[in-house]
Amino acid sequence: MNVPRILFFLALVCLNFSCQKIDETSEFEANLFVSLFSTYEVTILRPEYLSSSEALKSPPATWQTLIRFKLPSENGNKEMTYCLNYQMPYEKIKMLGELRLEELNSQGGCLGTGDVGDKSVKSSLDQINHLFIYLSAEKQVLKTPQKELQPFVLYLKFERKGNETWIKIPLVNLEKGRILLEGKKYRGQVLSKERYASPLIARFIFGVQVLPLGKAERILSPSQALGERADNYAEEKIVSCHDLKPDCTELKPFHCNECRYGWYEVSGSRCKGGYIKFCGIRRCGQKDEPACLRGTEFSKLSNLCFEGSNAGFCQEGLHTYCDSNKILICK
Amino acid sequence: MRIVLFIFFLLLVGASLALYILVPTEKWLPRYRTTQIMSEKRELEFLLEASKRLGKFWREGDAEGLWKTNKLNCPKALGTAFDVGNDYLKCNPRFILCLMEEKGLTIELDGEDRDIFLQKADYHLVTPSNAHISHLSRASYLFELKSSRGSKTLPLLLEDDCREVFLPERIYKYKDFVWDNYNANIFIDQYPVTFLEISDWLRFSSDKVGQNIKLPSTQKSLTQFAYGLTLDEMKSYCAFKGKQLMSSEIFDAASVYPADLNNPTEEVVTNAPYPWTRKKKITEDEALCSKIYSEECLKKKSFASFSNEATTWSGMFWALGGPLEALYNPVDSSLNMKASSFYFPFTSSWQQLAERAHWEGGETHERDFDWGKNNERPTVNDNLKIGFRCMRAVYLDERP
Repeated sequence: MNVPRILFFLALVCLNFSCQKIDETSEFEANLFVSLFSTYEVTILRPEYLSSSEALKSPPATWQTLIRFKLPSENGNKEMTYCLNYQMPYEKIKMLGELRLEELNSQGGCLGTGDVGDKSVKSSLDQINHLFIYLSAEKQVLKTPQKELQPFVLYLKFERKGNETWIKIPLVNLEKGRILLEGKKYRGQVLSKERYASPLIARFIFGVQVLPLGKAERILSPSQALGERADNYAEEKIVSCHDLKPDCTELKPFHCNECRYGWYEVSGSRCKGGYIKFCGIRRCGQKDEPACLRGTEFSKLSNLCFEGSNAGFCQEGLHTYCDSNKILICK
Repeated sequence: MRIVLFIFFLLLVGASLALYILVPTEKWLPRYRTTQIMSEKRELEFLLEASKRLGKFWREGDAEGLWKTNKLNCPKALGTAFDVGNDYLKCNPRFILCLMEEKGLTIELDGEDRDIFLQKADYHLVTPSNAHISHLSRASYLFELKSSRGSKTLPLLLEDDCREVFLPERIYKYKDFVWDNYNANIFIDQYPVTFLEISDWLRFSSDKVGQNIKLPSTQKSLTQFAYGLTLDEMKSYCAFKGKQLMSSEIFDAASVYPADLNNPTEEVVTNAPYPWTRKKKITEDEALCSKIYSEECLKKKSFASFSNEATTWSGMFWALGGPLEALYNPVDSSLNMKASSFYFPFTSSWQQLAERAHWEGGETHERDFDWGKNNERPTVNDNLKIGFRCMRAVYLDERP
């Protein structure tokens, strides 16, 4: 007698699952939330529509990448990229829009044209109209509809099947300097330079970062950071992490965050944001090492790199000298 | 009755089988995934809310005074309440361990409660020198959060930035040199490095440097400024944290009161000997122990760690008195130690800013020091306690 009862119960459960209604919007939001929460950099590719009062609509019927997201890979040690793509609606032919979250493909492309079954497509949602996007490092207050938007949270507002829908995705690792508009590169952190300012960075949670869900052991792989403790300029055993020409044009973008043992800057040119930077322990002022920074405001000279220049400190008995790398060193 | 039930049962099984067979697998499987992804999102919402709470405790420390009033009791992690400044529990991973162990964390979201706990009652200090994390730019403490209903853990990184302060951009004077730090973006340690920080370095660094450092055994003594390190070990510690050993001119810049605080381009820079005044002479009444922790103070009260009694104009603490401090001197490497300390009486000529002595950088016996032309020596000759601080430059976005 017990067996039929159990079977009956199982059948009911089975039927219940079969008939479960799928909330596609909630599923799409959950996919975006779980995939993007650890984002640390976004590039807005259609900045004219960011926090705009105008819905995304042109060019109609075309696929456009709206936002590119950089986030840590599952192991935390690599960078991966997702794109939020949108097929613009076309009112004339009553075509509605579609949103897709896609992973950057092996060719480096972000705008897949494949089907939803395409492996790069993480999630999609169709029948969308009147899409608006909001993202800011500061709190925003919308007048119509009246709504307070939190900083470092991506909001998508749209109409679907006659309903107004809001999707809210916190981008936990994002900071102000990493909300980039198309064509711009990361240019360093945005911190207060006021007296008593702390270096804690404003994010979704102040001073807090996260890694993708999973156990921490996987992320503690040996460091592949740049430079060694014994590195020094005198023996030409040194790694530069921000390279510039004396005219301040950039040869290598800033990536000193990857230095294993910190970094330091040298003197030689008057560039906004500083001159060449090296990874490692500072030995400035010593023989054949870069002179210690003395700043740029005390002198009105445009060229700071020449023999006897007072643009750097050297140990007593040594004097400054401009070497072939156009770096002011101590001889 | 049994027959009716049996027929009903057959119909149900038949309907379920028909649905299973007729509905394509692609449609069936996403349904399963939907449930999983939704519960994963829900799980994350709880874990992120917990991260917010912990982040607040991380930054603010024991704002409610739980530890000081013995309402939070973690003798192993924090010691039993003792005399220490409030900053002790800011950015302190042991405080987070204690809170989670003793108080626990329950998060309520939309009427649902979930208990949050640490996957392991431990933390890991990660820096670019010991971990390969794509977006890690500074030393952070790693914890693993888990909820009572979830199967996954959230690795949480709390940045070790609470006790640093920005050195304002302006024109400074060091000895006879006028210099400036425009666009240099320097952050300095407000306090000397403590043994607690050294113990984390020794535990989590793969470097061989520092293996001979002797750590004190009690929590209270671990909060003291770290001493007994060689100059090379001090530099290595700072490098592990992505920093540099404090430079002599930066130390003075952070300590000497500017001639005109509101005019950063003012080139006339005073060489005032005290951090809080432009007066050349001071009395014991106005400074003894509260602003200069000198030899006399050792008998009056212990030198409390993380005490923010004696601040400088920039927000750095204890520029005078307290421990001797090793420095990097870019101009004269023979003057590499802040001499003002509890080894000299209040009236000593060493108890002034910019006064430097020489330390060889290794042992701390009498022969390892040079006390300058006046040869004013401390009353204690051996095993002098030399502390240190670090500093670092940060690359800031200069967009208007």
